Amino acid sequence: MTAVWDPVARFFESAWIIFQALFRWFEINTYLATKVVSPVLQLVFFGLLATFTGGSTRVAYLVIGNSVVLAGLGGIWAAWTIGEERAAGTLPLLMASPASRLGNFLQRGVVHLADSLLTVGVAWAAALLLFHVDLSRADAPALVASVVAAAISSIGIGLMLGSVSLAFADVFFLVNLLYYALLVVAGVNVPVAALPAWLQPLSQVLPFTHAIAAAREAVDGATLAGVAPLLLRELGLAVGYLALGYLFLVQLERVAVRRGSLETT
Amino acid sequence: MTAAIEVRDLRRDYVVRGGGPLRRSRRTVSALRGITLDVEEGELFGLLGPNGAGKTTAIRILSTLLLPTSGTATVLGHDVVRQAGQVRREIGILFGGDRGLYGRVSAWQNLRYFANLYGLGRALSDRRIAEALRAVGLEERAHDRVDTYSRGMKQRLHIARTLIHDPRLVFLDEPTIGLDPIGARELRDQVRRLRAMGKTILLTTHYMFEADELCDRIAIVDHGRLVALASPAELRRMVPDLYVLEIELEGGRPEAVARLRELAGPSSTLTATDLPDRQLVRLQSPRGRDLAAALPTTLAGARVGSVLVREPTLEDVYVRMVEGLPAGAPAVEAAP
Amino acid sequence: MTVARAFGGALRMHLALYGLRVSRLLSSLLTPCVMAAVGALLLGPAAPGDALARVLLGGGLVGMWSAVLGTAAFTLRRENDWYGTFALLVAAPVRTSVVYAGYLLGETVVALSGVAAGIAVAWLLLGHLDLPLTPALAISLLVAAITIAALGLVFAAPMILLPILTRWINALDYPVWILAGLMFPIALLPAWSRPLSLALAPYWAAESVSTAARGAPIGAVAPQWLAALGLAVAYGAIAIAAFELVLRRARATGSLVRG
Repeated sequence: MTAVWDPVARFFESAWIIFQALFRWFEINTYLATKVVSPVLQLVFFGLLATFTGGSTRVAYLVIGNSVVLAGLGGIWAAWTIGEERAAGTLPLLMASPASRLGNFLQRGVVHLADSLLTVGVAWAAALLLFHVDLSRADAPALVASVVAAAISSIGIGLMLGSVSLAFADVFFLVNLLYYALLVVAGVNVPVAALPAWLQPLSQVLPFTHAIAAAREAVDGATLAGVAPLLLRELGLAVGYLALGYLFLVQLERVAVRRGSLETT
Repeated sequence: MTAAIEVRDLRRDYVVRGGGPLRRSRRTVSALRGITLDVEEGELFGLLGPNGAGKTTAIRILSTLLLPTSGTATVLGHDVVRQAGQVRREIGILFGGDRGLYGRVSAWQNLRYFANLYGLGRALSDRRIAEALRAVGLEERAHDRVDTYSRGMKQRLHIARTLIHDPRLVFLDEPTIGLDPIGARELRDQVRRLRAMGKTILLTTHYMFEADELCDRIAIVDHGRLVALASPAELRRMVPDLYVLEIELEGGRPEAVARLRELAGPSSTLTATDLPDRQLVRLQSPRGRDLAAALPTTLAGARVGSVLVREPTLEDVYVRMVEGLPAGAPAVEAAP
Repeated sequence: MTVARAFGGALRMHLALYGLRVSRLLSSLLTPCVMAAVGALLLGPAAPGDALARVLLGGGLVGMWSAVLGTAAFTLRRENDWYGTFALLVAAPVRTSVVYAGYLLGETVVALSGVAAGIAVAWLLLGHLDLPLTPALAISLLVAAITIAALGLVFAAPMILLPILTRWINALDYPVWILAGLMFPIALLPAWSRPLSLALAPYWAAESVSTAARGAPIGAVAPQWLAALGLAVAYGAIAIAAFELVLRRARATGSLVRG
């Protein structure tokens, strides 16, 4: 039994250690400010914008969309923590170890996944309390599954961007670009169908589009089976991002070993 | 019986890109130009040379962090290029300097993390972490954040980290760099302890005295080439004429000087400088050690102000080998 | 004269260090473009001109506040960690608050291009746009820049004292966007927040932008300018005092020079 349990325990233990080690913002006030206050304010802002531009019928639409996209914050933070590894100067040590690169890669997202879910929970609570979103017809399993899919997607793209940032330095810019792009094209505030035709394909490959659509259907009463196609597409994308991120890291290591550019990666 | 490390004609070139946006240039810089050496198991082997000599490049290749341009290297019987995974399981690495630790968590957490990286089971991990912390004297502060540690403590933690998976071979890349004299001395004691455990150690340093003090054998590298390879004593014997005695005699006693001249013999150089109330005699001789022993009898009756014995240092050897300076000239810090 | 020269120099330095770097420019343009895009798509091509103007120009102002707040927060880190120049700034005879003011106003200059970018994006998405580019509108935008920089200056002093506040800028973006009614009228907000809004200089500036965009004459907009600038002056005075306090504290605790 220990033979099976040990690696699993090690995986999660290391995930927790590395989260604390690299996650610069892990202290209570900052956490509250950025993961509770800020998300709620984001909802308030877009809720009011919705009221101004389309009346109360619009509000639910924007509030639901924003509640789910807030899972993206976890992914953003996951991306940052990968960049921190370089600052700590531990990359060469990791590379010189025999540890599995894939395990090491995934470890960096584990705690942020839980964090993502927490943020979404806070956002939904605000959506209910402040905007009285009508959940009377909502299908709970479908809604929860949509949120979980969004969180996984968030980590997937976060880790991918984090890996890319090891080579190109400005992760801050990349993740902000992504988050803002999502606000426009992932159906968060505006239906994908309302976007110009040339933008719509982008929506299909970005994270959250499908999870948000699924969440809206779930609120309207669709069951888990009903939203499954959307969720599968979302998870497929998530796996794709993770794979890209991992392959990028492996390639980066290969290049670093050949070029001797380890300290500058 | 294969050596712990076998290096054969190892070369490493870098492409350096330069120039501005309009005129890009490319040139090749050779960091290693064909080095061949063996390190025996259990040996404390030193790579000595100035900055840019190729020491760090060599260690990176041997620790699988860098691919060589040509040549081969095996560590504990495994090829560093094709069997990197196996090499990594058996080696430990320590870089000098501040980085390479996770500052925001404790020493214990750092060690646990690396123990997990090396696949140590829970029970073994617990035991090794406790042992390592004890060995480097960090038990009291084990649960404090590493960014509250002094530089010396961080270096000790590095050592603990290096030991956690009990590697057979340890690479130490400029381990005392940036440490104050006490910290550096403590670290050197740690290195001796590692050696006493039977580990093979490859140490790079540009501190000549450090290599002299610690290493069984030293390879002097300069500009990517191996310039000398021998034990410290053997290396020093290569510059015997650098043994210098400086004797200050009070009051003019020409017979004392004459006796010294006779003692020194024809193979030595003796210069005497007369000052108002004393004489400075400078004796340079290959037999320096013997002369020093004979001084008390030779100078009996004379009033001796001071005696300075200057043994050739590794720095003298290095300077002689690399820079071709004349014997007896003051040693200079090698230019980067 | 020294003050003016220092101020101008700081403004230019900020532009040189930051303003013209592509990645920074893109960041300054990102928020306004996104906000304008969202607003434009929400309203659609058939939207009334006033609403569209408010949302598009407001999007630019939203970006401007974000950029200024970011500068207020991270200037210390830039001067301390990257250039090691903060202590030198403090040791100079001119007030450090003046130098910061130069930086912040420099940031608004860059952010004004964000306003233009937002309008361009909306035009792209909607296919057409009717925005009266009157002198009144131009002046209103300048007034907005001044008020936003002034508000940023007030925030800057506490951020020097407590660097941990710099991590809160995400949370400090929204309150100003909302309370100053940058993209939607404060009439949508609960009554108890009204005094807060009225005390915000950017609120008056945003109102003047809205009024001017409706094609109103200068006479109708001027009172709002006066209110905005009056408050901005008050902010300036508060900020100068706050800076003196903070720097005295820093000199006492020895935290002026890092390392």
